[in-house]
Amino acid sequence: MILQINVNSEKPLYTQIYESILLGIATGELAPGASLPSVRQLGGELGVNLHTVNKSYRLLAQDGFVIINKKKGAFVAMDFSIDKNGIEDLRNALTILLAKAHIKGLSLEETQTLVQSIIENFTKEA
Amino acid sequence: MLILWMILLVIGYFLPDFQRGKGLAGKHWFGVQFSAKQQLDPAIQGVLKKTLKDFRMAYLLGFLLLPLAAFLLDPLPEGYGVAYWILLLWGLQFYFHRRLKQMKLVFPVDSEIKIVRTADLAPRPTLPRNIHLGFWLAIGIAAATWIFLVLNYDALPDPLPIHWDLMGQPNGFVDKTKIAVHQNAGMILLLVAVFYFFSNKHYQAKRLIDPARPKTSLIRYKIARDRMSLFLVLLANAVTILLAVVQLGAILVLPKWVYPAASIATLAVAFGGIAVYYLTTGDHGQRLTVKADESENDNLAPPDEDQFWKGGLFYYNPNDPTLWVPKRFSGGYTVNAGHPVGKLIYIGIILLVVGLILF
Repeated sequence: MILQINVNSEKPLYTQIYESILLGIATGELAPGASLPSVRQLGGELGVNLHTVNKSYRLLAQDGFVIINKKKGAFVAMDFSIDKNGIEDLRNALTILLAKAHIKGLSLEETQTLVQSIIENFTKEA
Repeated sequence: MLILWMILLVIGYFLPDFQRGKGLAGKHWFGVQFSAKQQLDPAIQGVLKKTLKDFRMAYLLGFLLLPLAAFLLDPLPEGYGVAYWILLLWGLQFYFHRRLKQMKLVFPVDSEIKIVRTADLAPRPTLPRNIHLGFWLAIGIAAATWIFLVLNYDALPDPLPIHWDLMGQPNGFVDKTKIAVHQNAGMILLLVAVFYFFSNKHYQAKRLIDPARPKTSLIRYKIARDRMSLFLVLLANAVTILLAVVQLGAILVLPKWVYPAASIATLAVAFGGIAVYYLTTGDHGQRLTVKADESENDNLAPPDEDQFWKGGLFYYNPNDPTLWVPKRFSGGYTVNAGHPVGKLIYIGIILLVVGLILF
């Protein structure tokens, strides 16, 4: 999977790396169990500090998308099951996004179509 | 000797062209990066052509001073000529790098271009199986030679040859001891290990992935690294055979032609191989024509990073965790002076040079 981060974006680099890897997992470009480059290797190829990549990996691991093993390195998790707390976190994140959509005047149908097209995009690419 | 100087003359003349070609590496002029769009601008094209022409003129004039110095200082002290040639190229590179950097500031930056950093998350390609087998062959030859020499210790001459000329004739000797025999034979295995190390490391080296054509870049790198490892395994075997032949010649009666033949074959593999590699492939595969299944986007460009290249020759970027980075001028790799280990290497080199001058 090719990862590209925008240098001039207001989004921090670590967030861009986090989101790119997350999207890669969602679309199936990064399969469960696939190994990720070492922090040093990815930092070197991107030309960014080790700590930036490390922060992205740690956040991905914290959210359960990546497993970090001291000996084997980082790889995509095999099991993405979600518990009650996870659902609550998703609900909170979605609430903010849907609030934005609501304020901007998107109807229920428009919002549903938008969500459906995004999810279809994930399953299509997978 | 004249042939050597002719080779050096040609190498220096074409040194700026080592990076010419496709992909990101093809966009470095004297260590200064120009985007694909910038290189299509007729004004920039004119500047680049003039810079190249001026470099060549200055280089030829500088090179002409060598025979003059040789005539005036007859004989020219050993090593002075090559040192002058290296300093001449460094000086010219520094000057033209600075000149192009200043000129680049005059041209406006294309606002449509999006600056992105690119990486591949897939596992890196590794040393192919047939190359591994090639190294095992070299190890086998080296080990067999070592065992043969140890078993026939009594038949070895005293003093023991440890150095040979280009025609394979011994010209350096030490007193025959068991340690000397082990050193001689062990040297071959050490050389094979060094070739294997670099062959393997080459696959882990930093890649300059073109954000406009990332898949094409990755294919180029794969081919380039496979070809470099093929060259290194051929060279490892040629050097092993050459050293085995000259060492076995102390015991076995081999035909006279074997020594120059092995020597010439090794030189042909070394110089011929490197010339073919840079003419057809390049460190980044920039001379290869490949087409991956991807839509090209010339509005994407990597960060320019010119500020990290000092004189276009030295790389200093404390934020880059890479130790070995591909050179922007000529070929091969250089050390990142901003890396903690890089700093130690540079300090070591400076201490070594100062030590050699003083003592």
